[in-house]
Amino acid sequence: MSPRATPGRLAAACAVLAAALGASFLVAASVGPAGGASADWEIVRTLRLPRALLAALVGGALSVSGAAFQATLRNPLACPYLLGVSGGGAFGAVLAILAGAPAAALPAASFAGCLAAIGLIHAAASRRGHLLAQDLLLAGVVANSFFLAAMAVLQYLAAPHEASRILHWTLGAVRPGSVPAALVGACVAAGTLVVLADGTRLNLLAVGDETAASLGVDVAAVRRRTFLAASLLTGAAVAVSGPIGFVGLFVPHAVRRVLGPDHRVLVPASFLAGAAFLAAADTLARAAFDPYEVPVGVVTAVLGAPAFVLLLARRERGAPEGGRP
Amino acid sequence: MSGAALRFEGARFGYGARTVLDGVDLELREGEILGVLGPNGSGKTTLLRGATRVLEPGAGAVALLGRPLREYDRRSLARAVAVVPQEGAPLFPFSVLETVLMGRAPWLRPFAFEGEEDLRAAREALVAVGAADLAGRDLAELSGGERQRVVVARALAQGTQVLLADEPTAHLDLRHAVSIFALLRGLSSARGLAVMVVTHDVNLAALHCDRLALLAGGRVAAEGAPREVLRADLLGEAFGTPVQVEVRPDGRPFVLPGAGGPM
Repeated sequence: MSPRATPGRLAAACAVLAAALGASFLVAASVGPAGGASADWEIVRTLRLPRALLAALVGGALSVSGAAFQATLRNPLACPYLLGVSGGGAFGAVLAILAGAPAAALPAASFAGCLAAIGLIHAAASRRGHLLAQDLLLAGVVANSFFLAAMAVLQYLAAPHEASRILHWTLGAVRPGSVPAALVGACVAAGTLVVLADGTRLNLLAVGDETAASLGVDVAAVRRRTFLAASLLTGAAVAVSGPIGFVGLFVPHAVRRVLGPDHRVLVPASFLAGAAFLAAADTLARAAFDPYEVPVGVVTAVLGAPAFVLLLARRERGAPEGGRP
Repeated sequence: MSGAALRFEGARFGYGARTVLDGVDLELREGEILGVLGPNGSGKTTLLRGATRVLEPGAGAVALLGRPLREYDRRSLARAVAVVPQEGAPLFPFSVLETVLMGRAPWLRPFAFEGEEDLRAAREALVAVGAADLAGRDLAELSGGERQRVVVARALAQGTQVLLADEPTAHLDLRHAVSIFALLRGLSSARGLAVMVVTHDVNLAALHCDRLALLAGGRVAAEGAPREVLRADLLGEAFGTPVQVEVRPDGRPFVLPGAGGPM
């Protein structure tokens, strides 16, 4: 059991995670291609730091989004990658690629796809003012499978150069310069603030709708705005980097294990942890197999999947040995 | 007559076109424990929803602490009425103390953490339900009986004058069921809480409640002291099965299922 959430505990957690984020920025700034002018301030300032900053924003946004989805949908498996919003964003970008749009137009197309997916999922799940967790979850998962299937067909039918652009985009990569960082930052800040302000209420939603309602929470309103804020965060992240998996699922779970389930600490801590994680993963993605760049979505999945399995195995420590292979 | 904490006057409740309860005149008095009995589907939970504004009355009125219920917003309602709902374990591993502190939510500002006063209220509530030693435990690792005590403590920490419990002894063994009823009984007499308990435990209700209300056929079929409500004819008709009612040595009635009669 972790100690109770207090302002002091929040400050301590944020200080440690901010230091980790700073460290990942330092590494990102100093790691460059072999034989390159890695000490050149111009390269650090114009290339490496903006990219690290963008990676941090995307990682933070996906992690807060995951924490918010998990609480408001009352499901530990909920994450931005599975819930249709990210699929809608990818679908939007794929349509734009097939329409021959230039790379600069893809973020806008992807964001529009996210918005369309949000509207669809929300409309499908709303029933006379009620918004049930399982309806949102089902609508999201169904929408996601539709988008994935549609993209598979489009990619199959596309000309080779389009198919390769689609593949490149859907694998996920941090692409600085495609969207002004200030715009991404504003979206991420807005979405995070909405989730942050509902910290206490998300704790109650995680216990149950009836409990939350009896403690003064407007359950439908909180679920709606949390869903929209988490979707906005996902949409902003997907627009600049394509769909990146595992961050939104893995980071909140890892943070919860260390700092406890209280959203007043979990949400800000997940933002910083996700930011540090993705900035580091992106540095690895561009430097590990230099001169080739690995898609960062592949790095997060390759790092995240085993880490997640470890996390699950630790949770089952008390279970009988025979229960595990 | 002491004041009415909660009063239904000719209240009608339903879902869409379907009316579940109609013409409900019922009063929960300050400092009393009222047991609500009735067969499945008779509207017991609907009555609780009507008392917490989850359902608005289609006709009639509900008053809480002398004010019409519709004048309360969510927050002020949560400061006046606490609910012990039927809900399973939470999704994430909250500790017992964290769970009880959630009862302070209606008193917190946005972004705020619980302060000294909240912590005191939570610890005091844990003492009151006899669960102070559980404070550091994870809620998920408690037994059903322990967890139910913690949920009652959360409701107490809420600092309300009215407490509504929805089948608080469901799934509990005899000892824990008895102790939950004794706990609710003690809270109403020692703290002046008005307690309304929806239950299927006819005999525990007969033993611990000041008054009983029997819901059947979409209305309040009987209301009064346990021996006035627990009559073989009333219960037999309400539940659609013959019962026998005997009297305990302490004068309280108890109910036996079956037709009885000479062996």
